[in-house]
Amino acid sequence: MLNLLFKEWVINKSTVTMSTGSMIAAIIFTSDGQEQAPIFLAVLFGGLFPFVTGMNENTNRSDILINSLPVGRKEIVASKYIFSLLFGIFLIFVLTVINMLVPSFGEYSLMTAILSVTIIGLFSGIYYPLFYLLGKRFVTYGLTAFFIGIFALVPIIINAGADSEYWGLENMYQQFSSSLLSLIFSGATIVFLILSWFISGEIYKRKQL
Amino acid sequence: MENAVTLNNVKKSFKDFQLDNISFSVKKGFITGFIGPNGSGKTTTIKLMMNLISQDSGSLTMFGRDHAEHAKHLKQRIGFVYAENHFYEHLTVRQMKRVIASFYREWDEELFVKYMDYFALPWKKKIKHLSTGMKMKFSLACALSHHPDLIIMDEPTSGLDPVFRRELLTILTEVIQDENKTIFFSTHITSDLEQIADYITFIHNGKIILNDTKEALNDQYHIVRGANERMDEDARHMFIYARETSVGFEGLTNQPEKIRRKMGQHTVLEPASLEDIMVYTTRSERYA
Repeated sequence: MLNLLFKEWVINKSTVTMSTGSMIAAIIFTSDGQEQAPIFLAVLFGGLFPFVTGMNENTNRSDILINSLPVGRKEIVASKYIFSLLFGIFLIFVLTVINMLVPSFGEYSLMTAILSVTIIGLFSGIYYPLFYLLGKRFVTYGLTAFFIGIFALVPIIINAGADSEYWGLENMYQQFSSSLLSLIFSGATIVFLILSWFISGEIYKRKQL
Repeated sequence: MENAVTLNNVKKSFKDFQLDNISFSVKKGFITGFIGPNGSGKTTTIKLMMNLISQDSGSLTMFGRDHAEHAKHLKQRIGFVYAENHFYEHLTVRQMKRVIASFYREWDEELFVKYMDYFALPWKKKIKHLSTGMKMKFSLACALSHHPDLIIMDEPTSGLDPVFRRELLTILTEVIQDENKTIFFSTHITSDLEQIADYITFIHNGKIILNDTKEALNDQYHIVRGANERMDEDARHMFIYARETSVGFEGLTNQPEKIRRKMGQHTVLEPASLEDIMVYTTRSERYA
């Protein structure tokens, strides 16, 4: 597994550097009046990471090279998930350091950090099974359409929710502490990620290269 | 004699092509040339061996073990060279080597450096800036630097200049001096194999047409030339393929003694080259 993670690092080094640099630049431009470095930037760049790395993997059908090396297909898939999560954790670590360095910024709560990694994990959990099933191009187009759809639909849903007190969800949310809800959400995402990895692994195992 | 690879009734179907119950073996300690025209099934067979695709039926064993079940272990013992470049183009030669080396227990850095020097490969150049020949040299250096027992090469000489083709063949001849090494080498440039192969496997339209030693093929397969009056219906059946023109006939046979007895001294028989065997067999309706 370590050799696969090393491979992910070597082939994605420039993507990691550019994403981190872009995130820091975005913080500099949006820091005015903020209490913390905006953590949604880590979620955004961490969530986009699998899309960008898919491009590296498909150049020259490098999957043929990797699958010719002494390594199992499930391990290859696992390394993708792990590296994406590690990258998400790294981005949040960078933001935490920035919070410590900038005097006007305060620290994130542990729950915020866990929730952010969880959302990044959620992105990977959706992306990889579709990637292995449908191929990079289709997934890129499909998820672009999905995001556009989300941006169009979310305001409509929020407005409709506000009119009907969020169909009782608001009351339910108030009954639980935000920490408990975050833990439940994170736990559900871990289960989802394991399931997603299993499905991706099974799809990739059957793939004819 | 021990087999490095054994395929037994292996079948693999695609929409427009199939490997049709192929059976053959690759002998341990020898160079086996895998010949056939483009689209005959060479790359598909190699992909099966490398476990990149799986067979619909039949068995494929390597060093006596099921190749899919023990893929990870077996691949430690395989060096591979593909016709196309599958390296990450944005990496330098050094970075790509580090990635590949990390997967092999037996990686020999000293040997790799030796090949890098021998091939005059630039460490700092990105893969995308290497010429076709350089990419192939790099691929070969990677394939040989972890002391593999089996080297599988898919069309390694296609697109290469004659100088490097000759160099490659020399290296393979040196590698095979170690009797534990086995080389399986697919090509449609048969002249390469005339020099170095011990065994020849010929595939056409997804079927194995022949699998024998090069010497046996030299003894068995002959080109026959003669006047048209020597050719009759009985004789035609002794040819795999024969071309008759106004000045005479020329054909490939695997029954030279019978031809000699029937046609006598008025015909010329000479051992067929691998190219003759491939070209005439491909034309023959018998294997269509």
